[in-house]
Amino acid sequence: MIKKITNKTLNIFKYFLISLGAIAVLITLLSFSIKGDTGNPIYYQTELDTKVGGPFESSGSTSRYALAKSIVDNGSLLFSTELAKFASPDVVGVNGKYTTLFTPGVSFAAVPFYYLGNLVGLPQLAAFLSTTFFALLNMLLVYKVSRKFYVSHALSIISGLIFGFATSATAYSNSLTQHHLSVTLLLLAILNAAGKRNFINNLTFGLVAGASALVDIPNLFMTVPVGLYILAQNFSVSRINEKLTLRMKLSVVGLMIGAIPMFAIFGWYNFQTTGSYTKLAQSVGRTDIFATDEIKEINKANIAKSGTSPSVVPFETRVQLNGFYILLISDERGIFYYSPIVIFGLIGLLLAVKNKVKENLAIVIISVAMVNVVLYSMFGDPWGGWSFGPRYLIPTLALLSIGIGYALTRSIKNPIVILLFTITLIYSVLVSALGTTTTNLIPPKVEALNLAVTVPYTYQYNIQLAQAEKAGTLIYNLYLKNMINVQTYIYIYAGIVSSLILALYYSAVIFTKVPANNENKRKLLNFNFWRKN
Amino acid sequence: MNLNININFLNTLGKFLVKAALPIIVYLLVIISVGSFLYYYFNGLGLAYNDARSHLDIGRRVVEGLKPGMAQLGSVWLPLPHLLMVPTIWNDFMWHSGLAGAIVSMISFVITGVLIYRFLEQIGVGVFGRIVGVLIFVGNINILYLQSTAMTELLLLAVMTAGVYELMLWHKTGKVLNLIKAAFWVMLSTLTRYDGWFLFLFASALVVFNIWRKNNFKLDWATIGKIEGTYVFFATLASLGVFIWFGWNQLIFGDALYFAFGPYSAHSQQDQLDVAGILSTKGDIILSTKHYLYALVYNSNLFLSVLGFIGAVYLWLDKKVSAGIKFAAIALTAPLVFNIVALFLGHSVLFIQGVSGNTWFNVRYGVMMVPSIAIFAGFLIDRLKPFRYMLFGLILMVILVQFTSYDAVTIDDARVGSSQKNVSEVSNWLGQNAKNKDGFILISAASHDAIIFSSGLPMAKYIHEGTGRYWESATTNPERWARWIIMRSYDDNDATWKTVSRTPDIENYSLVQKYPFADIYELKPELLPNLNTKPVFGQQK
Repeated sequence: MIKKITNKTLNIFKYFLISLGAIAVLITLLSFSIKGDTGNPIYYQTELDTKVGGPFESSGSTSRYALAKSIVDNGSLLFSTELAKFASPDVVGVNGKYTTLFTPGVSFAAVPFYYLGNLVGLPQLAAFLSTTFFALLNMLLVYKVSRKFYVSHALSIISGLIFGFATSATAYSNSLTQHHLSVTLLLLAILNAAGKRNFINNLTFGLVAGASALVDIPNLFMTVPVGLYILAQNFSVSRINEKLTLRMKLSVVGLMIGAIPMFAIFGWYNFQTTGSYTKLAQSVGRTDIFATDEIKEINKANIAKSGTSPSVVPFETRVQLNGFYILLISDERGIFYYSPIVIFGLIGLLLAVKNKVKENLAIVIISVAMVNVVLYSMFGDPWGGWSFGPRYLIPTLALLSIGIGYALTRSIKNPIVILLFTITLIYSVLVSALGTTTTNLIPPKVEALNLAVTVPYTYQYNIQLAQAEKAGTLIYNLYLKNMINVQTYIYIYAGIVSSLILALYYSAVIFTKVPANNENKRKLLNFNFWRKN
Repeated sequence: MNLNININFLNTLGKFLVKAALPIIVYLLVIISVGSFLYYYFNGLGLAYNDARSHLDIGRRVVEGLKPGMAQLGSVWLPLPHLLMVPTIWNDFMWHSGLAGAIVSMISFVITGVLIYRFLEQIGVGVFGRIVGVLIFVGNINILYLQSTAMTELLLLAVMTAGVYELMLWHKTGKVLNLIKAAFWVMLSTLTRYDGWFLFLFASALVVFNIWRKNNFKLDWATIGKIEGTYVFFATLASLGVFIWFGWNQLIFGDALYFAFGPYSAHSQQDQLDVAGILSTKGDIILSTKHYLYALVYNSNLFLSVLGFIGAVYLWLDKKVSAGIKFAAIALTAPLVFNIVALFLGHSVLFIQGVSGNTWFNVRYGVMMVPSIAIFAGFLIDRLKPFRYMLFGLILMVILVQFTSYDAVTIDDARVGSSQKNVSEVSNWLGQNAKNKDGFILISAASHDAIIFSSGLPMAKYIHEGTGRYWESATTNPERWARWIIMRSYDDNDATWKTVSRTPDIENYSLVQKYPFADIYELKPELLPNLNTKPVFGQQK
């Protein structure tokens, strides 16, 4: 008995230490994505400087940061003139009051981080760490969902690591943008869908779906497939003789009850900022009061041009051809150009459907990814402005990463797969490291070619910056600048990440035993074998 | 919470719904069709295409004008759409509202929707897949717009789809009645647009191939005899329209190929574009394919086109689908092949904004593949069971966005593209100044049919190329016949200018208005007493 308890305790302790170690490794690796520069002691904490390579290089981050800062410093959802200038152009003006263009979820999540950081004089660093925290959480959630497909620990961890370090999501893990928090909420929703249907789970899903709308409106569309699946799970049909009984669980009301608080907060926020419970700041549009004369002229021209279109939503089917090209295969933002490793994930999810392994879960995941891709293919700006990789497809990158573990499981000893995986992984990690180390601001082709000094519109721009010794990461700028050049730093960083993932992968390849006889092969196909891992 | 349902009731209800699905769909199609027509009628877009107005004028000239009759059907456009207008075009409201032409398109819309449903049913697709197929067709804003106008695309879609449907049934059942029906519909398509001629060739090849295939690809005399017999049987009826058209051109214009090489033919127009250096697709198969695929995607939506393409591949690889149906389904791609070949040969022109300059022209040709895409996508939805609801949701999302973003490339084609000319200035002037005064207006219908339509004046007020002796007299002695002359000055493509400007009478006219697309000349007042203002030639042949 004592021996049993001791073994159990030891096992728990062992897993605890392994988990702790793994999280420590992840935090260490993620810390290299933190943007910043040397200052007194660290630049950007009091300086609202929007220069390229810094944390405030993109207005997507600054406008959200401005809201968090305004809430903590001024106790207001509205910007002071100074903050409005800083957040421009993503600022909305209503009756002489200014607020952020974006939905407030990301800023709300950053408020406690900003507050605590402010206490120690590091408000920017702490606020941006909120996204880093969600990036870390996302890796764990990808791991968790991957496990649902009976994939081993090692290969599930690889799925998580790939999302965290081998996709363009890495470059956004220290920015105050909606991407990582959206992914967190989507993955939580998917995990919730995989659970039993009871009042608490339904309530939780309602909360998560409502919160996702607070973070970014298109999240609502992406949660629809999950919501419909959950709704269907609340109904059951049984047949007794000539009678068919349709049962609806009363706990279904939890879905609505859960969503109400978040929508109430949204309504209140809208009222405070636009004067209407239902009017979004985004529907008011940007104010150009702080813009330069040149930008004002461009805006006027754009308004005149779009004035002929009675479009009521920012999505148009006419642009879909361009949208699909840009988001999927172009060298500007193509998902398979920046992160080809996720092709394994797509194959994995399709295989899961084909083999009927958690078929419904795989279909829900593919559905969310498809909504993400199709929706943004119809968005007027599929490039996401000046950005790195397909930033609007970061949810898809996470969802496809889930399937990687399953795809690798299915072909664990296949030498061609091992070779292809190794090559695509190293490439994807390197590209991702380029963005993380230098900048997220890559212009779309049409803008890049029209700049006074043209710059590349692909990650070649990041390579140019690296060659010019321009790095945006805090750790490099603080401690390594005088020891190694930026390119060497990128190679070392990408080398460490790749080695870690490949070491895990090769271990799985080596130590996984594939049964020789037919019966066990059948078991392998049914995944009884893997379930034990 | 429980709901108990008797299973027999459910079975009965299910059977009833499956049975009633088609009548319900027909009902909904009619409602949607009428609703769309009213929408575009009241917002004034129903007649945005100049071609729509020209089609209506052609139909009207058959029943009204200085020389009414079948000869007014002309030589450029094929006659079926105009013949179908004849029963209603005599009514001024039906003519000027465009309803005389639109009603043909509307009926065609309903028929095509039904054919898509029936086609999918015949190839073993379940009710859900069939409904999605119809939804893809009906949810296309370009289809809804074109079915509300007097254009010929919807009629062509209906007769072509009917032809392919019957051809598929013949492949499936081998019944000769289906082959006769297929030949009939193909014949009607050859009388609607020249796309139908290509379908005739395409269908001919399929008929020959199917018989050969059924005889195990033998090349003995017995097989050749069977092929010959079946083909002649099919082609006699299917090609009738083509020969009627040759005969018509020979009879009316003295040249069987007048429609192809006459002064107003598409070939002649394309030659001018070629000389101007803007017929870039001619002789370039890559560019021709690119242009048509762009038109297809802009009309049918990229996502739905991709679904259709995957559905086609799925159908041709599906072992459950018989070889006959697979071969017959090839006919669904006929519009794609035809349009690319026509562009390559320089018989057609297509301008895509952003690809060939900054304008649209004939982009509506891309709509020809919509029924095919709907059928293939419906098939895919049926076969990809696990992804059925996901795809359905995505289709709904795309259709919704198409409507909310008002993405109708055909309307842009009509409103801002080369198809549109602002003729209202000239037609308004005529409406205000010529309406209550005696005298004829000399005008080239080939160049200015839209002006004739928009003026609101009776057809009998106009002397044009189709008015026989009036035209001959008016172009040699205009001052005796034409109180007003509408023409593009210094442009010999305008038949009126080409003739009238060479007569001494032109000196007796004052240029009263100059507009971008045509100028208005009026006879000097002192010559009015000598002017013929009544139709004196009586009934002409």
